[in-house]
Parts: sequence; structure tokens; C-alpha cells
Amino acid sequence: MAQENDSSGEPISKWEKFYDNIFLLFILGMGIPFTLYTIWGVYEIFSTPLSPLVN
Amino acid sequence: MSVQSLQPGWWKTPVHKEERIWITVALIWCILMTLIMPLWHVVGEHNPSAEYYRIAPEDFDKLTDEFIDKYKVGVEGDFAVVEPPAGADIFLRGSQWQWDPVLKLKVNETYRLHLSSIDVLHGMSIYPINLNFEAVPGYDYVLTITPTSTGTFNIICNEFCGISHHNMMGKIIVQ
Amino acid sequence: MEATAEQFRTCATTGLKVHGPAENLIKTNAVTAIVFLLVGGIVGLTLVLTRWQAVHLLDDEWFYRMLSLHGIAMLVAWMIFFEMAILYFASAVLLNCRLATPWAGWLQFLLMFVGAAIVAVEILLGNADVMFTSYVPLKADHMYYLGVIIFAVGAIVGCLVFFGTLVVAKKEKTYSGSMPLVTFGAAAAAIIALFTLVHGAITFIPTWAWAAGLAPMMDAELYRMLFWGFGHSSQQINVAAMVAVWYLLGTLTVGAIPINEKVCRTAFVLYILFINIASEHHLLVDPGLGIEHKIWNTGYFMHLAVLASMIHAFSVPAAVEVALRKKGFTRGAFEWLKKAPWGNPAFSALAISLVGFGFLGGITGVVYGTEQVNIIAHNTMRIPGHFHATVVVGTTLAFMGLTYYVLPLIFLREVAFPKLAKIQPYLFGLSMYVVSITMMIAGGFGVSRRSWDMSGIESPFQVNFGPVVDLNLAIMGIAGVLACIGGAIYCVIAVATLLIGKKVEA
Ligand code: HEM
Ligand SMILES: [Cu+2]
Ligand SMILES: [Cu+2]
Repeated sequence: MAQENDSSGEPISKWEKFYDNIFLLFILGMGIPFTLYTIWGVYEIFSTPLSPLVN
Repeated sequence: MSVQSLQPGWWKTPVHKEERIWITVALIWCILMTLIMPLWHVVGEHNPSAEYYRIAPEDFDKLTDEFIDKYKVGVEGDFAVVEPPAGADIFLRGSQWQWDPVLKLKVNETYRLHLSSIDVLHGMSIYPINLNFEAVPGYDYVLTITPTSTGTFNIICNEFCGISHHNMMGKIIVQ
Repeated sequence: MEATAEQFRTCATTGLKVHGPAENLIKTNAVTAIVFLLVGGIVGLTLVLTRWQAVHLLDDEWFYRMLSLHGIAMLVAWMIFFEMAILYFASAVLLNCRLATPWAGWLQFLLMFVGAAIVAVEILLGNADVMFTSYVPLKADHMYYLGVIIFAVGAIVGCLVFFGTLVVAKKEKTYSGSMPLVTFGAAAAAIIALFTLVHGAITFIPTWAWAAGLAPMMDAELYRMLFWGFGHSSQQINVAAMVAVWYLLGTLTVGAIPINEKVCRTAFVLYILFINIASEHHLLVDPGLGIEHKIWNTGYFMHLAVLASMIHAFSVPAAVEVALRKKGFTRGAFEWLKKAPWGNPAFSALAISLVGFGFLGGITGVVYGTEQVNIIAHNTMRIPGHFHATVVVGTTLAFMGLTYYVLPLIFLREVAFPKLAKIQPYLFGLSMYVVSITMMIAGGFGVSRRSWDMSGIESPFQVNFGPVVDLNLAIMGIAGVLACIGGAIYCVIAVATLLIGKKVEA
């Protein structure tokens, strides 16, 4: 693919491309909280130890 | 304009000095707010407990009954009044719509309070010192508590638990 | 499918090409939102008059029923219907594009409407006295959960239509370069919304199956964790949408240009990446989750999302200041502020929303969401105090302000009762400030939220909160009534504009 340039002829910043890439942002925006909050949370809940007061 | 598309090259616009200062200050504040939480676990006195166990509601119910039988010193209305020895494992059972039993504790002694519910969610809110913890059926939430002042404290249920939720009040007496 | 030229009109004011089907969907969703706001507002009036202990309007059963309905009508229906209108506006209108698959847009509306109607009816029939949180093991009729699920599926469809339109716009090259900031903000809201709605599905589908007798009950703490992945993240949709609307209002009212797009967009990216983990702050005093999980999810990364809000809090007013100074209001430090268009309801709504959200809602949110402080805030009146500052003063007022532009630009009618419109944001916003603050004060005394009778008159042990709390709740009651009048004025203006407003040339 040809290199895209901005008005002053310099190549477009990779940050601009990243911010324009809504699909990538979507994947990250789902993946990060899913991992940190949901999956870790499910793990925490299911690893709750049984009460030692009950035999 | 916020409603017009941007032509390529916008990333190169430098950030104004005042805005840079603001962002730096805000970032420092955020970092401080973050650090205070783990730090408080080291230097602070009030921290959410990290001790909790899985327990069937029937088992918690039985344990509370045993606890009441063992240390019962009287009754107040329909409620048993229980005076456990210092350092004991004590139980507070939430159910629709009461907190059992009435606890009689000694000031400046430490207890292991087991908090749970045997039906729906309840919320333990100690009045007037305003300490709030969640009572979740299936979980034994162990709070290590040391009453530091004498008097009568109410336990208000602050998690909606059905139509008589507002009548779910309990009592702790500290002597 | 190609859109035909007749489906477009060109806006005389902005020069934007407006796609007819998109416009109809914007109108339908916005009007439905306002109807739910009206319902929720009437219900809110009964609530505030019940918590004002001296009045104590409703009986206990109806108080909890109305509280459930208020949560659903306001937080779920009013907010999300309006957000659907914003999504269609930010994609189709701002990108000069046709709406991808308008039939799916109508499917969105239909599903959301049917879902919300089922939920509302179930609550009114007394089949779902469980609050909008519906924590298990409290059980509602299975139709209630089904209604929530249908609503959520509708909202998912709406988000997909939005993303589809972004794709179409790019492919058909209806804009060049990067999409406008407002559209970018709306995209952030839509991404957050999909995370939210997926959690709605994994919470409510198993719960529906349990209520219908098809499956065992979900673990109570697991429910809380998954539910707040839905319940709080949906508030983050409101935040992202509100900020996008702030930028939009800045541009519409004074021609504000974002100072630095890089900074503004970075703030939205931080929202997308980190804001949803903040759901954790509902679980800080719960068993079942370790300290690391709690601190991590309310700590460092979450504070990057807080940082994003701080950035917007600077860049929106700064853009407004720059725009006003360009108009020549340059004397002294504050001439621009004095000469700002305070009589324009959209501008005053923006200002009151921004200040209230930041100082009342934002700061209390960060503070109450700190692990140790949460011990003294959890489930007290501090919490409704906090979120009436965010979601009512902040988001609701911002949406109201936007309406004063949507009416002439989309509905092509002059705003009816312009004099009333002028005072409406002040009345609604400032009395809501008072409601929020008095709620927070009551919470500081340990008054619990969602309680028909804080003193427990019928219970064996009574609590006497004393005259300070009583006075405080009386002030809350009066301010609440004023806020309801402010909300009612908004609804009346909107409806009157649609029915009798003078037509504007297209
Ligand atoms: C129009 C004026 C309004 C008044 C007077 C009002 C008043 C109230 C009152 C008195 C409560 C009960 C607090 C408690 O006892 O726990 C409440 C709860 C609530 N309000 Fe409002 N409110 C208004 C508008 C709104 C709006 C616009 C929204 C959302 C966009 C909203 C969202 C909520 C939510 C989510 C709750 C909590 C429900 C629950 O605990 O389940 N309110 N409101
Ligand atoms: Cu209870
Ligand atoms: Cu309760």
C-alpha cells in the first residue's frame, strides 16, 4: 500500500492511524476491562475458600 | 470545530503550556489517590476486610444458633441478647427482616465478627458511626472489630431486602 | 443498498446533508426518551415527597415500587433512548452519510420500546419490587428479566447500526481525514455500551432462566459483580455521551473549537480503555473479592479514566473561553465569562452541567470510590447524592441543552415559550445541585438510601436522626419539587414545540 501523507507531505502519524482505527479501539476497550474486571473477578469469586468452621 | 472532520497532521499540533501544567497536576493527583488505598492498609485503621469464606446459608444459620445458645444472657423483645467473651468469634445473621442476635460487647476488646445472610442480600450499617458492609448469602464475611466507645449502636439494613426493609434494625451494646 | 438523493435534505444553517431515515429515527428515539423522562419525573416527585419525612407521601409498598420504576424510566429508558438519537446524529448527520440499514434502526427502536414497556408494566403490576438492581436471591417475575433482555438487545442493534454507518461513511468517502470529535466521542460511548450490554446479557439471561424455573440461581456475589459490569458501565456510556454533547454544545452555542484535538481524543481513548473497570467501586465492602482486585480496578488504571475527565474539564471551558475572546470579549480575566450567552438555554445548560458534574458528581465519585472512604459511603444517601449530580445535573441537563438545538435543526420548529426555556436550565440544574448536596449530607449522618422510613417506627429498635437530618431532608424535598417543575417545563416546551411550534425553513 502506498504511504499516505498529510498536507505538508510528511507521513501520517501512527497515533492518528491508531485513533482512527475504531475497530482496534473496540477490541482493546472490550479486552482490557473484561480481563481485569470480569475474568479476574470470576476467578476471585470461585477461589473463595470454604469456611473452616464447617466440617 | 468539534463537528468537522480533521485533516491529517493534527497529531503534530503542540499542547499548550497551560494545558500541559493542568494535565501534570491532575496526573499527580490521580497517582496520589491511587497510592493512598494500598498505603492505608499499612498505616490506617479502617480497612475493608480481606477475610471471607464460602458457607451454605443453612450452615451459617446453625452456627449463629449455636453461638446464641452458648452465650445468651437474656432477651429483648423477640431478640436474644448475647454476651460473648473478648476475642471470641461472634455472629451477626441477617434475615428478612431482622439482625440476630443483639450483641453485648466490651469496649477496647477485639472480636471476629462473622457477617452473613440466610436469605437475600442485606446491608449492615452501624449507626451512628456509619460503617457499612454487605451481607451476602453464601459468604461468611469476617470483620475484625474493636469497639472504641461505649454506648448503644443500631444496625440499620441498608440494602433493599423486601417490603419491610426499613424495619430491619438490630442493636449492638458496648460496655 | 444505495441511498437515493431524494432521501437527503440539506440543512440551511450548517450545510450538512441530512439523511431522511436517520432523521426519523433521531426524532422517534428523542421523543420516546422525553416521554420516559416525564414518567420518571412524576415518579421522582412522589419519591422525594416520601423521603421528606414530614410529608411521607407514599406507603412502603408503593415507595419501593416507584423507586424501581424511577430507576428504570430514568437511568435506563430516558438515557439510552436519547443516546440512540445521539448515535444516529453523530454518525449519519455529522459524517454527511446515509444511515446503514435503517430497518435495523427501527428494530432497535421496537425492541427497546417493547422491552421498556414490559419492564414498566411488570413493576406497576407489583411483579418486580426488586429495584433496578434486582440482586438475586430477590426474585421478580421472569417477564421482568425478559423485558430487560429485549431492551438490551435493542440497544446492541442500535450500536451496530452506528458502527455500520461509520464503515459506510469511510467506504463511501463522505468525509476525509479523521472523523469529527463529537463522532469520536460517540464512538467511545458506543464501545463502552457494547461492553455494558454484553454484561447485561450474561447477567440477565441466566437470571431469567432461574426466575422461569429453568436453571439454578446464580451465586449472589457473582451476580453483583456481573450486574455492575452492566449497571455501572452504563453510567460510563452516559459520561462519554455527555462529554461529546459538551463539545457539541460548545460549538453550537459559541463556535468553540477544541484547543487540542490530540488531547481531547486521548481523553476519550482513556475512557474506552479504562473506564469500565470502575464498576468495582460498587463491590468495595463485599466479600468474595480480594483486596488486589479491588484496589487494581479502582486504582491506577481507573484513575487514568479520571484523568480523562480532568482533561475534558479543562478543555471544554477553555475552548469556550477562546471562542468568546475571539469575539472581542478580552477585557480583564473574566469579561468573556460575563458576556457569555447566559440567556441561551443551551449555553447555560452546558455551564451548569459542566460545573455540577465536575465539582459535585466527579469529586464525590472519586472520593466515595476510594476503598476506605467507601466504608462510610456505601449504600447511604451519599450515593444517590453523588449520582444525581452526575447523571441528572451532568448528563440529563446536557441532553436538555442539546434539545434546544435539536428542535430547530432536526424537527425544524422554533422553540416554543422561549422565555420559559431561558430559565429552565437554571431552575432544574440549580435545584438539583441542592437535592444532591442535601442527599450527601443526609448520607453523612448515616441515613440509608432506598429506605421508606429511616427511623424504623415499626421496628423493635428505633433510630432518632435528629432535627438536622429532618431539616436537611425538608430542604431536599423543596428543592426536589423545584427540580421536578424544571423538568416538567422542559417536557412541556418540547411537546409544545412539536405540536404548535412555528416551522423553520428547511
Ligand atoms: C426530576 C427530578 C428528580 C428527583 C426529584 C429525583 C429524586 C429521587 C429520589 C428521592 C430518589 C430516592 C433516593 C433513595 O431513597 O435512595 C431517587 C433515586 C434515583 N434517581 Fe432520581 N430524581 C430525579 C431525577 C432523576 C433522573 C433524571 C435520573 C436519571 C437520569 C435519576 C436517577 C435515579 C436513580 C438511578 C435512583 C436510584 C434508584 C434506586 O435506588 O434503585 N433521578 N431519585
Ligand atoms: Cu435487610
Ligand atoms: Cu434491607
